[in-house]
Amino acid sequence: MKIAIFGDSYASTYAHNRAKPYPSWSEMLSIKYDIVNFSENGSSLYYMKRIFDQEHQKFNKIIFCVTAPGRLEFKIDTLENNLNYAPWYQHISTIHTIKQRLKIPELTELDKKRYKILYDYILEIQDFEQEQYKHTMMLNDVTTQRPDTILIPAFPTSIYGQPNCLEDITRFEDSIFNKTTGTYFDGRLCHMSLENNKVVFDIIEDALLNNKSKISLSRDRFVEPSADTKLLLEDF
Amino acid sequence: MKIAIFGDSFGDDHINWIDQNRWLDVGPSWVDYLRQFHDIDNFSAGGSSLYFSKIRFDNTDLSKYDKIIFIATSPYRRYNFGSNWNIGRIETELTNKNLSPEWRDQLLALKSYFLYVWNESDLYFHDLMIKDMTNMYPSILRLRYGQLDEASNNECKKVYGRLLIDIFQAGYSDARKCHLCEENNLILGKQIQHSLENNLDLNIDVEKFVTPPREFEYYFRKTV
Repeated sequence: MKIAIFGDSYASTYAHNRAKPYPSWSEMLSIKYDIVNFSENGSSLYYMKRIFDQEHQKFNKIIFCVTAPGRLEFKIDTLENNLNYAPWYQHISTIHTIKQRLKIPELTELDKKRYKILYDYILEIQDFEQEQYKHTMMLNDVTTQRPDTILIPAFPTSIYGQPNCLEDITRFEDSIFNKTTGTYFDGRLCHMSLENNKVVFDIIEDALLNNKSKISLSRDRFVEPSADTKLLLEDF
Repeated sequence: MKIAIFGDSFGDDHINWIDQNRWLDVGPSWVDYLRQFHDIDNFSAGGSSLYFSKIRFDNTDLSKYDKIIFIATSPYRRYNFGSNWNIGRIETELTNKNLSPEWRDQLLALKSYFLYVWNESDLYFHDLMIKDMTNMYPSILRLRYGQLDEASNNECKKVYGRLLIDIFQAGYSDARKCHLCEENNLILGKQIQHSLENNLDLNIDVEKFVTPPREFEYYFRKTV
């Protein structure tokens, strides 16, 4: 069975500093199945949907980890071929991403001007209702093309009617460690401990083997992470 | 037949204008032609974006209608601040000396969006909305914005040697119903009626459109 995975950092195999302290749920799946993982940290649903449109027909099964609405793709020529930043520099997940990008030393004055325009766009122009509408349309198109897709909500706003999401696990683990989500460099694969990556692996494998397209991420399925997981969270 | 029309100014005939008595001397639209035969609800709005029309489409009880006619407008329009914008409208608004600083900043951000942020993802969403509509309502009749825009501009170029945008920028308003002269509104109306009567796909032949016979001042009225 050939399986494709699409998604953001909740499905990718990359973590902070490219260190891999343990396998992610998608890597656990790739030990047992023929997996191609297209996920990229910070990517928008639009970006993944374009790849899905081109590739999905080559696969028997699709796992789609759905990010939040409102993410953008914004190319800057200066960074396009710079291996320090490629391939993810173009993914703008939040307004704070732009603040981080503006610190990149290689940027030209024109690049900075363009990022500031994007910043103003997000602040003044971007409309949540329209973003949610586009998001829903794209998801509907995914499930129309591939009704067998296993959809996994990464965030509370990812899939309408499915409030339980992967971010819940991150927040749960952060509360154990007395950390505020988003105030640290996250060395956890898919933003969760090894223990909870295993739980997600089990949930998805069950969906694959039993032809389910909907999964349950209810809180009672997840476990307390081991204490040394906290070492992977570096404060800013 | 009961028909619903969605779209922009190529469908927004005088029935929906704020001042319905404006330019009563200029002849009927293609929508008026179809009104002779059908019961029409026209949801078109001049200057509207596809998102605006699509939301109207989504929120309309389509089961009431035997046919839907949809004009999918240019992808270079956006719904923001409770209205529909393109770069021309923004630039016109920015000439207003009485704008508040906050509103001016918002307009400049919107202008910058069109110049620097708009990209292939906007075109993708545009096409996805059209696909979504045809999935929901497979028998929809689509009037292609590109064809209508070309036909309208051909009228302007052939007779007056100018594009419509240049005419607007010179301070004129377009008194032609749906941006076409009466004769071409009639031709368009007949082509649509032929599709409706024979249950055919809509295939507008703009080659059949004629050169407008009247003078410039009949079709374009000075407003500035």
